[in-house]
Amino acid sequence: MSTAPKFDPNANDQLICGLFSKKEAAQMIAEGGTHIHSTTMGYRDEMARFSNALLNEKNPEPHPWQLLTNCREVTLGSSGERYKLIKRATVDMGIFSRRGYSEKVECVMEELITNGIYHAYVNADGSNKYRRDSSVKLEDQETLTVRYGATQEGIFISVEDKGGRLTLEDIGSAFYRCYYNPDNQIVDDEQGSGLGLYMVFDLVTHFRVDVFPGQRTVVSCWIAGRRIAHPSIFSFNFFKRGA
Amino acid sequence: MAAKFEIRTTEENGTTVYYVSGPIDEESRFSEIEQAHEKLIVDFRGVLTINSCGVRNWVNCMKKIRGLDISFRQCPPAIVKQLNLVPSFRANAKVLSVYVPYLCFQCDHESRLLIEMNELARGKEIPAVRKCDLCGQDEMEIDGDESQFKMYG
Repeated sequence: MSTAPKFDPNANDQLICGLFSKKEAAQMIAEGGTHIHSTTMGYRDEMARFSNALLNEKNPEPHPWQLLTNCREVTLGSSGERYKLIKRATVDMGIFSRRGYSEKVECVMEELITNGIYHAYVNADGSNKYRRDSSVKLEDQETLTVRYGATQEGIFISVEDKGGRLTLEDIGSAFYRCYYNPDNQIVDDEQGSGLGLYMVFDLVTHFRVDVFPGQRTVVSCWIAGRRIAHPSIFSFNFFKRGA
Repeated sequence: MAAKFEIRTTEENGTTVYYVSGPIDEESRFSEIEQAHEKLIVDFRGVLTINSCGVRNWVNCMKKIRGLDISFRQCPPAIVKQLNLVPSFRANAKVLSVYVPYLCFQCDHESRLLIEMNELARGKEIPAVRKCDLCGQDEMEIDGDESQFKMYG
């Protein structure tokens, strides 16, 4: 069993640019890396330059792939609504008949929404407020905001919760466990399997997390269309705002 | 109406075949398969989606039937993805066949081609390009990394 690297909070806010596998990126994230771009263009890559310009900003702007003019925004108030919403999203984005593409999108949306419902909210004692095996009706101040949109180049999805609990350390340890400890990938936890973010990260091209601690978390993804998708071109960005 | 998770069982030449279909998620239970003994085939052709808790439930099922002669066949891309991402999803099972997805660069039409692993083992290649059955152009390419479909050959 591989031992997780030491998490270094001081590694934050440095751009790491090169050509990596997602497994290599997982190690960097587990060590505290917050802005990782795998690209054949090096530091000249447009998205890497964009991330570089956002470093150390308390309120970083969205990446260009997060700005879609035809983006839809839906409020989700219960766990039971999520499957209907996901189906509707694949129809709205015009990919319902493209089975392979819609399978990826459905998987990403479901994992992000499920995380938002079951992991974002806690009781006073720190325990999860909602059990994974229960049907959940979120309170008004807990509703999720789901955004999605499609262009010829790809698909944008984001899920925003009002908990603001996700940390870089959580993400890094999950990625590291899943990529480097194949015999111990799955967590024996009633709240989930511990595979969700790993599955999402594997499927998407760009992955960005914006956390306002204690207030909200926004997880945004871009799934590149077939014509421009390349397994070695991807990015990971983690912004902790208001810190 | 949404498709439901289901397991149907048949016998083929003395081997029990379990046809798994629908979405595999936290509510999916594999009790029929967990009661199997000796030799079994799991046919995944009807699986639509699988989420992270569905993966866990399947892995737990595989732990319970560890040691049996297990084969997977007609694995759609969603299952192939898990076979690559989560080694314990497969455990000691043999993969007999997988569906390779193709996408047309001209018209975005998708199709799937069933590839038998024993044919790959005998040297057959997965076609890199196919003719699109919608627009007729020779523009259909494998949608994804070809190596993930060849690793069991």
